[in-house]
Amino acid sequence: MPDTRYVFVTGGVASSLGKGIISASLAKLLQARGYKVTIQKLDPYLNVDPGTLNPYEHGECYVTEDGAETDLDLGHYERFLNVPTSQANNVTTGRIYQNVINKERRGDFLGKTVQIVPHITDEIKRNIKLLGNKHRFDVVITEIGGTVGDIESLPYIEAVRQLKWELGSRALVIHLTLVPYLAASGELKTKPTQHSVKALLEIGVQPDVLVLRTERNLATDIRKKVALFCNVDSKAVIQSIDVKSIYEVPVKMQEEGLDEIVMEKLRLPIDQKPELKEWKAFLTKLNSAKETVKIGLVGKYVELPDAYKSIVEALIHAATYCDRKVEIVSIQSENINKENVAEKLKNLQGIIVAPGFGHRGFDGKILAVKHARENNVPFLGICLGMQCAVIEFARNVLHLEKANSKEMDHTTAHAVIDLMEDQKNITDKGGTMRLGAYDCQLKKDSRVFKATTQKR
Amino acid sequence: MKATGINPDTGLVEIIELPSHKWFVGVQFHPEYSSTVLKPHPVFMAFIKAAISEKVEA
Repeated sequence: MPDTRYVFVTGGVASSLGKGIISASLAKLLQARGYKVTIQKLDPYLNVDPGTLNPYEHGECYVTEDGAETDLDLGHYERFLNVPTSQANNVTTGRIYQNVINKERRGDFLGKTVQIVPHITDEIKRNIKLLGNKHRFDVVITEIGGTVGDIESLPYIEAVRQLKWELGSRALVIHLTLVPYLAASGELKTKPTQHSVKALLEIGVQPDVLVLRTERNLATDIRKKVALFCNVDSKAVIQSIDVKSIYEVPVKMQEEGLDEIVMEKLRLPIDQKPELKEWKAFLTKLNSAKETVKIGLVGKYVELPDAYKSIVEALIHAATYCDRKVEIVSIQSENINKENVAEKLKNLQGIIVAPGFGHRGFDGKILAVKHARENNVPFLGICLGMQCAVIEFARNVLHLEKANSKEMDHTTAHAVIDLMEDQKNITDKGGTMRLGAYDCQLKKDSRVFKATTQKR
Repeated sequence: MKATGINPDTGLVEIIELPSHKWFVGVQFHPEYSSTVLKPHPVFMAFIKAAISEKVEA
């Protein structure tokens, strides 16, 4: 689409400032105004996709409908926007290099020296534009992973510089930084922001909008100071104050006028402010729930809250609509044994056995299933959690004591979970799982059929 | 234990349930990936409803 606008979101000062949430919030606000918006994440690591990354390192791996293993930020995009994303929404440096090197091997470069500029940067630009061209989006928001100044993210920033030059007023850069509060002197400090904008300027990119993460309100004089030192309009200096729930951020960003300044700079017409009625109704429910529902989450990565991000968020969504706050008790499956299972799982109103792989913590998961089954505690097993439920039933109810999954024990006499025919010879661990959306026919008298046909 | 959800193309079991239990469901797919703020996933809704209900569902 020739008129597609491109918004780039970069980050400075520190990581984990919430670029993904700011991107998703802006997208939500533009979507509420009737624009067709999508978000893309560019990750500066050399893994071809995050599928093989340990959740301890990078949080949950989010899977899209087309079966792509992607960054957990795409989960936020979908939860905010209510529209599915795909492989094209998550590009890693590894994928970029793989594409360029494949082209080189095919001889596409006709003997030319293949370089970071222009070949890698061209491939980055192609991937950014691909999304806008293919699906006819009005606005593509591209989040650049990492922090400005990292060696890894340099080619991405260079690609942004070139695109800004090519696209003129159809491209815009939002830079997210941190304004720390020094308790000892009682001051908010803007110097890290100034330095981080300087780092961006050194590589040729002038940000158009600054979003400042802060734990305290930023007075007008601070915003003016930042504007002066960083060459941006003072109304384009937006504060993003800490909030209790990520779902409050779109409302805060609307109050700050982030969407309007972005539309003004992209020369999009600004009409009436959307009401975000349903969204605000959800927030009211979220903040007014008094009773809690206590759910146990059994898994092997529970120490890191981001590892089961989507499960946690799905529980928050469902509990909110049931007027409850959800209290999630994380239980490391490795630490569950016969002696302590009742103690570890006591007072839970529901138990989830989480997805995962491998032997570690497997026995603990089986014990958790048994506890839920025998004590009539509502139980949800997902992926490996479902397989645990089948194995537990076979072992303890059908008395097939050696029942197992072929994946866990390929010599088992009672393989109640088999390997799929086409997976029997797979040895590679990257990109070989059955992933993505598939059809499923439900039995009419089942719980899940009832659930999907019932009104909320 | 009943297989209550079947993939029509491959015959793979995607959902299992224990009808005699208050609410016992196993899913091979990932409902958590399609729960959004404005559209919570029905499986999670039913799970929370069962968790907060006192009575045993028939």
